[in-house]
Amino acid sequence: MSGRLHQLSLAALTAVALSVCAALAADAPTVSAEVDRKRIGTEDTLVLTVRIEGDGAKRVGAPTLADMDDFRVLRGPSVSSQFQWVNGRSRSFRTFTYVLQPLRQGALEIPEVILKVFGGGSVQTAPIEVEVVEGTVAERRRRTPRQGLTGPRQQSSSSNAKVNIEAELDRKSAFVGQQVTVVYRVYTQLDITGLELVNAPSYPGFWVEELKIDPNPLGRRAVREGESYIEYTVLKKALFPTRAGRLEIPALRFSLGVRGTSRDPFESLFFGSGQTVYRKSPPLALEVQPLPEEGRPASFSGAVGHYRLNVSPDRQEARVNDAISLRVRVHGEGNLRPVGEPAFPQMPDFKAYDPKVDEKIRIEGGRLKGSKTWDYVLLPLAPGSQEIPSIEFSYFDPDSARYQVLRSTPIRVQVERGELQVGTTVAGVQPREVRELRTDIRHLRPTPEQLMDRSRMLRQRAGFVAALAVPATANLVLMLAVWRRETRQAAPGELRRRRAARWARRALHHAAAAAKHSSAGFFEAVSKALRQYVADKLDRSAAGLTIREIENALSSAGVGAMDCGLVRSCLEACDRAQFAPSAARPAARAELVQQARSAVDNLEARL
Amino acid sequence: MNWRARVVLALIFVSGSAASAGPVEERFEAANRAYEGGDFAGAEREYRAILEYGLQAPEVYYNLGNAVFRQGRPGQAILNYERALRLAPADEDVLFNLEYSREQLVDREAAARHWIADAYTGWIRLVGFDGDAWLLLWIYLPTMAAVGAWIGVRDERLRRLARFATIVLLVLVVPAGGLLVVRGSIESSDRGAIVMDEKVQGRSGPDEGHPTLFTIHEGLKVQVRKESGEWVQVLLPNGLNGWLPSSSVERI
Repeated sequence: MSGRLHQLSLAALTAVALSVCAALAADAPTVSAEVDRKRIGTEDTLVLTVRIEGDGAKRVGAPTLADMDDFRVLRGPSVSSQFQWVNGRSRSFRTFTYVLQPLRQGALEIPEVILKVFGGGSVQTAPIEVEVVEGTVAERRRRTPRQGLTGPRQQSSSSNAKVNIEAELDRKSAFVGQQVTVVYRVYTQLDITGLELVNAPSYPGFWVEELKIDPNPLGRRAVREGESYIEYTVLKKALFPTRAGRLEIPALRFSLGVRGTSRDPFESLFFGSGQTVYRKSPPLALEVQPLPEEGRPASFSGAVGHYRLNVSPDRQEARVNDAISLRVRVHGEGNLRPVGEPAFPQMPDFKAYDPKVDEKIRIEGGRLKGSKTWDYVLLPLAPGSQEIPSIEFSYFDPDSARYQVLRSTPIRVQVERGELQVGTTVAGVQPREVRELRTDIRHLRPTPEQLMDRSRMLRQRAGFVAALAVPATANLVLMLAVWRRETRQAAPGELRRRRAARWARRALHHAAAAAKHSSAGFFEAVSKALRQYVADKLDRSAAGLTIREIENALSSAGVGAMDCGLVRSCLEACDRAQFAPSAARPAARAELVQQARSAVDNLEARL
Repeated sequence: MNWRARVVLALIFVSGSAASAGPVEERFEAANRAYEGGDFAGAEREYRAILEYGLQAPEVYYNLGNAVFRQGRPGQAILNYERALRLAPADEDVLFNLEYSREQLVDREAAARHWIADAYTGWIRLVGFDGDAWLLLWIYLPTMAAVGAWIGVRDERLRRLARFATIVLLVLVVPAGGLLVVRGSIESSDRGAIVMDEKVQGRSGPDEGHPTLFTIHEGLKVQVRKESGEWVQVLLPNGLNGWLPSSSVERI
């Protein structure tokens, strides 16, 4: 037993050593690229196989496809490897398979495929030219055995058999939010073994809901353009346009596994009868009309279809601060998902919390139906018979093309006072500020008894100006009248006494002004002014009034000796200077005037 | 107001004084009924017909403002509320509706104002349409009486009392008269206007060819500075200055 084990180990070691030696001595790998056909249609696909062959195949990395402008890689790469040991030498094969889709028609080129070699360098394939024509060319059969949909049996050969995908809308125009159903059907003359979407469908401008279809549909015989097909519904979608205008429904690309029945037993035996074909549904367009502005209720929140409204409280008797549940339920046919909350009325005597929203959507007969429920919790804030006002819900009925408004019946709730709590003034009632429910302009001014014209302001009226001017004028007149009256009523002697000082000062002022230039007449003027003043004050004639008489008269009138002396000295100075006027200097003249003024001021205070 | 309108108005008032309500009041009542019945356009026609007589009554402008507001014309509403406010500066309803209408506008007026402007506005709202003139009269006439007493009364005690009263009243008369003069000066120089077009572009000159400086919207109050042909130069509340087509604004 151990001898046999030893022999096996020796053989394995020998094989490993040989393979290592072979690998070291391997030739450079060769790479090639080939396509399954050189002529295809725009709706067909192409299989690109990159093959790495040679003893050094393991040293070559995965191929890198350059960016292709004319083709898109639908699948791949799928990798397969083979290792052969022939005549003591190993050979490796590796293939990378891609499925390509042409993006346009014409003579297109698959660019070279570059493969990196470990240890440095790279190898590349030659570019391949492919002719792409419009539509499709006859399919080449590939072996993809699947179970699936069965085509008409009278189709004996797959070489000319057809498979088509068609899409259909149940209406050509719709309103925003109205359900439109798009149905995708396969028309086939072959057995369908499998079907899948190549790309995820997208419907820009639509809200999409998937409609269920039978997973094992039964085919229906159909004749199209004189040829017999079996029709299968493979996909159904409910579309709800979200905007107005012409909306495009893009083509969908399907991958279909098909199997034809061949009369050629050799073909059936060696090549099988299954293959994958790709088909596109035709693009569709839908005219979407906007919802009319006219007649749109304020409560409209986007519901389109046919609906009903139910509003129900869990009870109609409660205490203050005792929660009531109010259920608002909208149900019917249409897309309820985007529908907003119905306008909840302002209820100053209830506190309403945000509702709990529940949505139940179902598909019935290919139409979207369901219900949306808003559960509110209401807290009564004041006792008494309270009313939950009518709740309004509106929707657009696409059949009549008009808005419909649903209103619930107002619900009366009898609220009792709650338990007396700390901080409350009335049993269970928490005092609160009055809330403003909404704002609006203030109402009209009622008709007055008489509309007063205010085209002119009071200040612009003549009466106002007169009211200002007349009293002022009257006062002026009064002032004049008083002055005249006083003038007339006063005794001549009294008037003379009153004016004596003013006249004396004026005379002294003139004398002083004249004395600045010449002394001629100055002393006589000063003397005259003083004598006239005393005469006026004593109501006597100034003519012949001597200094002594003046002094005596002033003393008799109660004037003090000092003031009398001042008057006398002024008069004597004047008399002396009259005989020698040139001797008096200007400064002496000014001093004399000052003394005379002081004498007048002093006498004015006494007399 | 031309002489024909004066005659018509005088006749209406004369006939109105004989009965409890004249034709103007009946028309006003009819306009109010139309408004209450939801016929805002009909109400507007009636209010405008009253204004055609030349009657300047704040009630008419106020109700007209409401009628056009209900028709979704905030520019016209603000214009009429502003006119009502000039005739009744202290009317709370007019002030409220004017402020409410301004809140609906696209353009907001500058909120910050000088305290002197606020004080002046407060004074006008306090005294109303003619309150300051009446106030002046109520102080001025006693002042003149005191002056008269000071001049004419012989009794020395009464004269001294009159002199004291004159001095005190003159301290009041001078500011009251000054405020009246200031108000007259401000109101005569106020050239406010309201933008009537939904949207209008302010340009740097009185021509379509001048570049656009700003865009303003219906209802904004502007001050007209100059006029040149079919264009007016306006000053916006935020200090911007530009030219607008005359037809796009209406003077208050």
